[in-house]
Amino acid sequence: MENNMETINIKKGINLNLIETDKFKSRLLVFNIIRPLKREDATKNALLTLVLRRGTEKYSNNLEIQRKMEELYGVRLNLNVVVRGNKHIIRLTLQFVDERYINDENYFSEVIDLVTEIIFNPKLENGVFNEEYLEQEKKNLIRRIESKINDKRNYAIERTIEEMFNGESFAISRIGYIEDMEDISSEILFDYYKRILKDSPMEIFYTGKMKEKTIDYLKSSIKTDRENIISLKREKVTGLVDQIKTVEEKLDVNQGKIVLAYRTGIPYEDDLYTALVLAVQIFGGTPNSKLFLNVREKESLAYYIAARIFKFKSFITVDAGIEFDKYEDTLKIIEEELNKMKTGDFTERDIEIAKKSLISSLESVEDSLHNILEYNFNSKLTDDYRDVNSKIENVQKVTKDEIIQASKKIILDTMYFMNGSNVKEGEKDNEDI
Amino acid sequence: MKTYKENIGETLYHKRTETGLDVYYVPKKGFRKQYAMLASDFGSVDNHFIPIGEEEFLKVPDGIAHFLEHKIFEEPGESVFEKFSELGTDVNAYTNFNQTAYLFTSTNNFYESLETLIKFVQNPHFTDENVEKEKGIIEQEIRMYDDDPNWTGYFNCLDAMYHNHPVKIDVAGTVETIQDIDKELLYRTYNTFYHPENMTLFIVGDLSFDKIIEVVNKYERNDFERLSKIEKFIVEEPKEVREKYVEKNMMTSTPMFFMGYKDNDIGHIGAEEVKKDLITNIILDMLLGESSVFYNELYDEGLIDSSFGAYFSGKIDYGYSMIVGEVEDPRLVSNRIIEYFDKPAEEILKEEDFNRIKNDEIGSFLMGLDSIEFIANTSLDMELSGFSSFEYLDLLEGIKFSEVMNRFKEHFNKDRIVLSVINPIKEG
Repeated sequence: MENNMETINIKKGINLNLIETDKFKSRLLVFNIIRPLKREDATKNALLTLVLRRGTEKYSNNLEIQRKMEELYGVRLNLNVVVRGNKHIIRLTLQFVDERYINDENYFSEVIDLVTEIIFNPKLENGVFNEEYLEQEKKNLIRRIESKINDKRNYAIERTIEEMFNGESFAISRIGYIEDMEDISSEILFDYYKRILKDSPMEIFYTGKMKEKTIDYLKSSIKTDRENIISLKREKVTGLVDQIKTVEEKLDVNQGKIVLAYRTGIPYEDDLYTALVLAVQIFGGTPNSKLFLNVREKESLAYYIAARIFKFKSFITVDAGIEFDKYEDTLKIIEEELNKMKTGDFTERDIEIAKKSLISSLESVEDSLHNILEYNFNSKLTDDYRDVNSKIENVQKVTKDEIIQASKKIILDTMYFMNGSNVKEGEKDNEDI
Repeated sequence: MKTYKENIGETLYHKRTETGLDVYYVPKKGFRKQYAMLASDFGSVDNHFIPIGEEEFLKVPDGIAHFLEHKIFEEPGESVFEKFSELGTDVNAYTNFNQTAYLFTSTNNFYESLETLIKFVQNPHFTDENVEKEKGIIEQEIRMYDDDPNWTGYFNCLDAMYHNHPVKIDVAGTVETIQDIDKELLYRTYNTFYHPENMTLFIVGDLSFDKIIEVVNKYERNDFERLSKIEKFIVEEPKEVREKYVEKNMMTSTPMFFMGYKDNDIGHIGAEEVKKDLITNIILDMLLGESSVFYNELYDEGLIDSSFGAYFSGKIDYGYSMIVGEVEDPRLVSNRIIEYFDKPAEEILKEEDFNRIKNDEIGSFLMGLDSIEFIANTSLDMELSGFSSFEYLDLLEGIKFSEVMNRFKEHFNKDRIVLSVINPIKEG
């Protein structure tokens, strides 16, 4: 994929990033309002995405917004918060049909009007957000925070990260905290909203076929006043572990969940980072990995087991769903396999396979609007504007020696286990056959 | 055979090989990714049939289609995963009520990957040892789903809705039922359902159809005997639901609610089946979608949140509308829906809503065509029902408001409702 992104600075700290392509039947328009991930603002950011959906000056409630979206041939609108390292991003995503299928000259400008309405002209009452809407959305957000437990695999990983980065901003929950809601009044939230429109870096992305007229219209639609823009810092990355943290949680569940989290201290700017990504692939990134072959295929201990790397903080997680009494057995195999990575007990063929898998996922970025956007947004966040081809070249160059070096820096930091609440010490699972 | 749709700029190629395998190909110019899916028209509901070459009906243990899916990956030498990994290709598989599909996505080495796919699916290698070994893995898969309140509440609803139809059975079976599966049963099932005449190959990417056919002809097994129609046991299913209310306590936060309407207008195939499906989903969008008056009423009252939603799903011999969500008071929400649906159709179904939602469906389908996975999955599902997805937009545009009214009156019958609830476990 050629890196054909064109960036236009519209206002102080607001960039419009245009990616021209004619391959798709839909187009994507994404607004990213970038904030630091901070406890004091996390709940506000999450609440904003819910309150802004409730109505605008022109479309006074959600029903009217939804009907407008349907009229515009099923515009898909998504307003949510995402985390990238220590950045908390309020994101509005719009996917809509390419104009060529619709006989309406004003189609694109109507889509733009809808987005700018939602972001810049929320429905107000007495000069602030509607009190009733806010109270309802607080309740809805509380329910969402509480229902994290419904997805047990994800819950286990989140709990592990929370323990591992306890005291750091990265441990802060993407969707906020129940106990922080009480203090957020309509006035406070509205003041916060006004402030972040003034001082947040904003990255707007548009992919599709370009027409000068529509681009000009998009530019002129962003009318917000701007002040001094906040600066955002690069995440701290450390490979130091004082003491391994151990967490066991007993819940009324049928399956145990083990999560191990490791620090590496290899930031993405480091030459060794690509070698680390490959090490994780070989270790537990594919159905051909050491963990998959040994924990699942050989020992039948788990259905899922995977290793994953988190780019901005350079840490690794390994997670698996197992019988309650198989914690020690599983742990032992994971440790053995990690040791093999460190001592170079893997083949050139393993490396080739890991490289191919990584290259293949880089190559397929160009086939999805969402992936194209994410790739380019990542370039901005990491200040790394290399195109796919040069990244592929970089992957090709990695040697076994570098993978060993990177593996040696993988250090266990946190061990989490979701255990059954009815399992007593030393008791075997009675359904074990 | 070639079908071209000018208005959407897509083409569909089709050819049946000598063994009876249907091969479909949709070219996507300029795409790097290629996608191939080899599917058997065999899912968890096909659990009672006459095996090929036999005369008596055989009832197989719950979960066998899914078990088979796992075991197809077994090869005597180098593992299937390894072979695909060497080609830089991602391989996967899934089983649902009606199909078992093996699929891969590649960016290079497509034709070698296709060869590997055909060979591994057509050459099973089951041993007593590898079948036993798989039980531990599938047990963990089942336990994972047992901890998922969405999955459990959904299957509890189907289990209460149906007396006999196997759609009530969890696709993976249970930890107990899979113990009865052995090598012989797997082979008998495999030989019946993995016959090329019961399989479809669907391919999407920037490729050559001639080359695809060449690879298929070269590598597909051609030593199958001809298959006469697979005799499947037809279960008697009463029109009424088996139980009106079921609940279970689980490790969750808010109660979860699954309200199902049993569909008795069954027996349709092809365009009729797809049309019924579409009309019912349009009705659910009109009445319960985010743009509906009723949704917004319940939302404003704090009874539901954005987790609330509804859809229809069905095949030739079963069907249901499912309304789901995390709600504080499942009984209340369910009563409100029953009350609302009891109103005269003319009062709650509006033609302007219908037209708007039709627009939305058209847009959705067009946007879906940007994803090669969507094209393959949707098209395959429709082809197996005897309908070409290339007729989908025409079918959609041809739906009349009167048909929507009729379907509403007939399907949403308050005597055929099941309410399944998952309650949070109370501490202490």
